[in-house]
Amino acid sequence: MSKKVVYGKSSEASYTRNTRIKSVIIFVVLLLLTVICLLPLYILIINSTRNVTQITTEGVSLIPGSSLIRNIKELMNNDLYAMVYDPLIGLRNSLFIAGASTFLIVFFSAMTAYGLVVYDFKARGAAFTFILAVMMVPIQVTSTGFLQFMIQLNLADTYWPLIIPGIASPAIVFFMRQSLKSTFPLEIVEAARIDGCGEFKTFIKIAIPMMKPAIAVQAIFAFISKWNDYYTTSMILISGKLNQKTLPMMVSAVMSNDKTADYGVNYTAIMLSIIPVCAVYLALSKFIIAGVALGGVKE
Amino acid sequence: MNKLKRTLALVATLALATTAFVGCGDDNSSTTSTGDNSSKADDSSKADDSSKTESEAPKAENTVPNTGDTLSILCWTGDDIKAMKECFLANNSDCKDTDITWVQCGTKGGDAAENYTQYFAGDEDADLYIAEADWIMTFINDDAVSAPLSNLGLTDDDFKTNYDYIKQIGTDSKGVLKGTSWQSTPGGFAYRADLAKEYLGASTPAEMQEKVKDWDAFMATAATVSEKSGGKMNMTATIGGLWQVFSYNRAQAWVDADNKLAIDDSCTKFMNMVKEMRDKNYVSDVDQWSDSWFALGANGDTFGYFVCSWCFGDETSTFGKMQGGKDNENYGKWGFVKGPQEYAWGGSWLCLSPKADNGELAEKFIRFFCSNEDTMKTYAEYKGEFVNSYNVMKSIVDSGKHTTPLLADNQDQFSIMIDVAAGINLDGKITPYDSTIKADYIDAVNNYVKGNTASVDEALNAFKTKVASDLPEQLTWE
Amino acid sequence: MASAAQKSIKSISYAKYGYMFIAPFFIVYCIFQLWPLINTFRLSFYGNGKTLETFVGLKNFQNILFGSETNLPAQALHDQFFDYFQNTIIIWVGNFVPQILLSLLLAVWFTDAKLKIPGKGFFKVIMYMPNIITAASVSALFLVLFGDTKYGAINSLLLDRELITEPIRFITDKANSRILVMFIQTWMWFGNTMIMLMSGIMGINPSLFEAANIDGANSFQIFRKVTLPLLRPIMVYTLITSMIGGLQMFDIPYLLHTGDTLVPHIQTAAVFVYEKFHKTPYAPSYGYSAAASVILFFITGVLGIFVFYFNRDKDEAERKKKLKKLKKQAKMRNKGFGGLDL
Repeated sequence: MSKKVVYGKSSEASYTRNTRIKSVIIFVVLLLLTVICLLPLYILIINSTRNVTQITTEGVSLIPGSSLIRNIKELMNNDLYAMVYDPLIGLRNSLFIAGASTFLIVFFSAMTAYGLVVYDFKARGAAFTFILAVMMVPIQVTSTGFLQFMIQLNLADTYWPLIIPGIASPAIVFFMRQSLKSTFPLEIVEAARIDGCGEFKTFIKIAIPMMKPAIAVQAIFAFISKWNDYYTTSMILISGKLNQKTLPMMVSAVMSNDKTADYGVNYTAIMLSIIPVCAVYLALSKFIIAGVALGGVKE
Repeated sequence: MNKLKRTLALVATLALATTAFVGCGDDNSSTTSTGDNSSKADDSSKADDSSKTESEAPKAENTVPNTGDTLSILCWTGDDIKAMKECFLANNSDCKDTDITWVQCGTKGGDAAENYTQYFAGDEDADLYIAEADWIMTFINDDAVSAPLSNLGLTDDDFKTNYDYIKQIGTDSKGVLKGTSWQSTPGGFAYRADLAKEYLGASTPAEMQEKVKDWDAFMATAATVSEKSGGKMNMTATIGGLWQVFSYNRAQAWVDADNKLAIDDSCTKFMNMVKEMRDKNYVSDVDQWSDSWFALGANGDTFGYFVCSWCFGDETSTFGKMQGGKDNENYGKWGFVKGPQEYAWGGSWLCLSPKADNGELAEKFIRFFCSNEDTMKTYAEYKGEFVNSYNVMKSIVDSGKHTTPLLADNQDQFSIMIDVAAGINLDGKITPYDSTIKADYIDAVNNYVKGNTASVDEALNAFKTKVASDLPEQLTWE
Repeated sequence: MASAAQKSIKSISYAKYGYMFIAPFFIVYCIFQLWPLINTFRLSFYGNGKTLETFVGLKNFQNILFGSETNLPAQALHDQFFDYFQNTIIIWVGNFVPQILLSLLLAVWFTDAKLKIPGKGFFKVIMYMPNIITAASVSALFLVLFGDTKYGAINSLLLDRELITEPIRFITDKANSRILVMFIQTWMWFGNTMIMLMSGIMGINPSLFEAANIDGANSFQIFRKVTLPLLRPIMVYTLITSMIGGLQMFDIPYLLHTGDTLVPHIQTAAVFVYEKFHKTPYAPSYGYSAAASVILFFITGVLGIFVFYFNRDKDEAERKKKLKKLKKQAKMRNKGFGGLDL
């Protein structure tokens, strides 16, 4: 008995030491990764505080310059910029498109996944295989046909083609189905039926809260991907009217315009478009982490 | 059979029309077959025919309907159109602010071209649109998306003040004038005037021009500059700049009469010359429109740049950035000469959409900016623009009032540019495929210069292959 | 134990809800994606440029897949497509392998309750940041850092310290450009993958970990025998989505260049599709673009099926088979007795 205790103790001590060494190594690695992750962002912020001649003649520096206010003023007042870039409008548009899409995406994906997991119907296997097949289709394959079809329906240049298709998001359905299959107890549905709860109500009142972590994770991913989506948005919003543009479109316009090659201002434009996203992300990050953790504890 | 009849009718009317011109200038005998040229409902071939008839007669009729309420101009250069609109309104008291609007379609010419196609497919309002030299042909050769300017009652005579090459670019392959421009964008060679004196003993632009009057002289001067600067300085900044000059001076078009790819001798000469220049560091490996492009001049790493009219402005303009901003020690120490060959860079052409519905205003607009010398002068002075008229620019140069802080000794770049623009000839050398082919060619050149292809022949083969994959069925291959 | 008849009644009455629940997905899909997809398939059988309206059958496919000795454009297209496709595979593998290893490692570290890492929450948040930035901004930022010429940040730093004499060609050199793109893709996506894997690990019952610990397993053994197998569904998901994403990779290869010339060694199959479509807007090569898309689609499909087959839950498949057999037997019995269960 005592032998065991001794054995346990010494191995425990070395075990703790090993863990500690490991923690330190891991910590160092994480620090390194942090630097790598943040360096480009840092350079972006620095560059937006310098003016164009500093950027072109002095190369890259790690010390901020003093031209931030000037750059912002230039961005707001200079005609060349004002014509293609208006951060408040861009923000509003991006928020609307990304927000509405995200809601539709997660809600309907959850619904479809629920339908596939909970109900046993003849076409179930085929439907799922179809969804898988759909996932394989590269975006470029459908994009131009999609645009032409929207033009025919007179929906080009509106926000509908950007939001509605989100209802059919195969990859997200796939993820939610995997998540449901491993964490959702089918007996609850039976119990709800016995209690007289309608199918749809069961879905909304019981399933969705249980799927919170999966929904949270996918909502973040969907929101960010929709926010950053440049390809489809610029294709659909043909007329390029300023008050319809999303933030990435405005940023791209500023970057690609030869005449607005005032680099300090360009970087300021990019920075201003990234900040809201970062801010929202940082604010919600607690929820993401908590949400991911919530899904952990299993029966 | 129809085609034959049409050509005969054309020839006949041309003959008639020339006799009419021989007579006194202002022939009011208004014209011939405009009766049936009323509406867009006519099939385009007929409209083409009668409008050609019209355009030869001295006074033509504006047949574009006036049912719309605003003149919309599709463009990617919103700042230009904004300035034009302001100037126009200031000088036309009967026009309101809401009468003219522009639509910003992307920020680069290439993007705009795509957006226009989508625009025309829908039915939003589009009266005029701006096109670039590299792809204007694809629009003006297609009658479905471009209408002859004569539909607005504008004749060749109205454009007699314009530079030839602008007209050549705006004329479709059937010889119908479909695009014109308010500006001309001639280019030249900008150089460090202080170093020119030191290294080359050239103290005036005229003396400098002697040193770069053709490519042989240019290369010889490059050798001197390189030697005297200890191998540090490039003669000119980028291969792209050199290519711009060469591409405007080809002897033949990129696509010959058999619809096959044709490589002009000057292009092969270009490839060899550029390789030599790169090997000897007469030209840098930097790309245009990158941060480093401006850094070259600002840091004193290049002796010269090939710049054009729209590069000029204040210290934040393209040329201003090349000089490093007004606090740079070399700011304002530059000179400007014609260089080895005349060329232009970019520019915008105004085209008419067949769906235009503001005929009167469109005609007024175009006359104001592209035809009437007095109003063009007003605009030139309003924006400091190099407008599309030798007479107007000459009078501005002669008045001596035009100066720029970017050039030393109060040199006026316009004095050089007026002759450059007149010396450009592009007749028959534009094809719809120019933008793609030129881009592929410069790719091949860059690869050869970097040593990725071993010989000129290999590089040219790579070029042909690339064009074949980009235009597999648009051109004829054996 | 409900009788066979009762069971069949139940499943019928609720099955229709299944259809209802998945209906919106399919309706929206058919309208907004299926029709354009069919259209693309259709386009692949038609011509290019001037011959857009002519039916050419399988000629586009033939040209791209097999090239031609005599026809220069066909050979050029064939070479270009296969070059680009090769680039796609190389870049994808070079990006995916480091990414999955790194993400897995980080996910395990972050979910290990024994390791006391200060500022865990902070690190998690930082790791995901790169995923937030648009590809356009990312490529602009990396061009600043890794510029080819002596003015690029890293180059000017190394040149100043005299560690190198010539600027390193990060963007235009064959190997360097590919490694750079792989690095950028990993940089952008490892946080995303890490979070996915973390959610998967957290879905594993912690009592299993405790049991393993008590049994004396070390971290590595736990990882191999407990974590990995249970993480399989999520790993499969990550593999599939990464593969699809990799085969469709477009943004970074297309945007990472200075001047107007694309860097040839990093162009992907998706760029081929895009270019044939957009590069010559006046005479687009819709046929070749569509044909390339279809080829990509089939390749993705085959690979996907392969991955799924490999990773199918064998027990589940067995169970399904047994269930099917039972149902069949029940049906036959019912038929035999005229539908009554005796």
